[in-house]
Amino acid sequence: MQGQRAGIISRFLADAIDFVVVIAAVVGVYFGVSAVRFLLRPRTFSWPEPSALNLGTLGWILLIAYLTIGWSNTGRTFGKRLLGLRVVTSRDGRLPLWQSFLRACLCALFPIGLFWSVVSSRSESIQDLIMQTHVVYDWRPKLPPLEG
Amino acid sequence: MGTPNERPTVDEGIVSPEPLGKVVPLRVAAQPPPPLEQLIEQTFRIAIGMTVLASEVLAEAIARTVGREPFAEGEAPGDEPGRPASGVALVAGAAIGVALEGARWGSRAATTMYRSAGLFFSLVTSPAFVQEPLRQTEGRLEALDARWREQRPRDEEAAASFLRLLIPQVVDATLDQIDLNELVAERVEVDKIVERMDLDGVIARLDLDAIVERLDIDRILERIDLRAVVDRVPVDDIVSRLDIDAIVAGVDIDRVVSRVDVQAIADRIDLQALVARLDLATIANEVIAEIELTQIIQEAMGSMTNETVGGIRVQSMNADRAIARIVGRVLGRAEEGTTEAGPPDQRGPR
Repeated sequence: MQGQRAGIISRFLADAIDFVVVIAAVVGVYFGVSAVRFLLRPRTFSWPEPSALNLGTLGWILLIAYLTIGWSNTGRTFGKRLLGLRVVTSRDGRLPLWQSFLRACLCALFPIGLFWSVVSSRSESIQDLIMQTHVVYDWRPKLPPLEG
Repeated sequence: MGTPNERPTVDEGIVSPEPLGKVVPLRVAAQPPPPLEQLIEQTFRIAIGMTVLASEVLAEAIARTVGREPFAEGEAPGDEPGRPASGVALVAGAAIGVALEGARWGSRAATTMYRSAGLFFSLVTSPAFVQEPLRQTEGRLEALDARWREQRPRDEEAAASFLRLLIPQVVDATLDQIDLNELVAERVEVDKIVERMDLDGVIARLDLDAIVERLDIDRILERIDLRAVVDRVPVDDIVSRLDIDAIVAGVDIDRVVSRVDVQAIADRIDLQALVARLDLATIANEVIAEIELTQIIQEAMGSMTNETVGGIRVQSMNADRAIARIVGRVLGRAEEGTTEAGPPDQRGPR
């Protein structure tokens, strides 16, 4: 099964896990900022009350950064690692940083594009079509060497 | 020795009817004396013999006082009867021979004189006027003899007591002058004695149990230097000769173990004291350091995680296939589906 295109269920579960990770990161940032505020002004400390826009922006930025770092390094985020998936280029190689960043931005802006892979004959999402990438089953620890 | 009622003769020497260790009687009554002629001749012989022996001993002692050996080694006077004598020895031997002959003749002459005197005495004493005084004299002599015989045991007892005191002192004084060790070394051939001895018979007579009972084993063991004994034992040599495998094969371990009362051993062990002596904290730290607990936990967690993750992956892959089949059926695609068999140039790495 290794190297074959991944289906919608695996990819959705992986992205859901990544989403949870980003939510946890947002919560962590919130508690971190609170701790810094407590240390700076303990007497006047009160829990910060950020707006939904701020939180959404923070989460969106964290999501793009998280996906970019994961895909450009190993081709996988935590969710994809757990599900044994890897994002590769059309030549089955590792994504360069700019490609990772653009794919991350597209995923963050238009996450529903993932579901195009259900009807895609090659199991590709909208982001895969635009960025010339695809997601395969690959739970080996490292990227296989390029052929030829 | 003859019948028990017979008295011992002179040739048999002094015979002691008592067992060894009791008082030895100094004088035992002998048979009636031999004829007078024989007695006198024997007396002369003994006197001459003693004179010869005394002169030889005296000459030897005098020779020793001037630091000379009286005789050459292996040579002794009188031990070589075949060797003819000469010089002074010849004269002395001739003198002794003359004395012996004279003694024989003298004894015969004395006997003849004694018998003649007895005949003459019987003639003189035959008249009646002589008989009466003789009879009176004989009566008085018999009375005196009876008195002496009556006192004789007491006198003999006194003399015996005196000799019992005197003889040990004489023997001690004599033994002081003799080096018994040297004497035994020179005169006694121990090997011959040992050859003659019936050692098996001696050992058979020994009451070994009584001997062992007398031994003070504790004192003997205290004197033994066990370390020195053990040092002398070639343990390596002994061990190298042992066939340990054969010994172990001969041991019935099951029987040995069945005889061991494990419960009794466990009851004797003071576990509290043992545990109190242990440095449990140090031991625990060492054990933990040896075990590398962190690695074990990581491996265990890793294996659990891998199993769980593997299950999730398989389930999700099966779900992917099912979805792909449904979508393919709805869209009228081939049965393989897009997820399982993409174009060869777009397949992932294998």
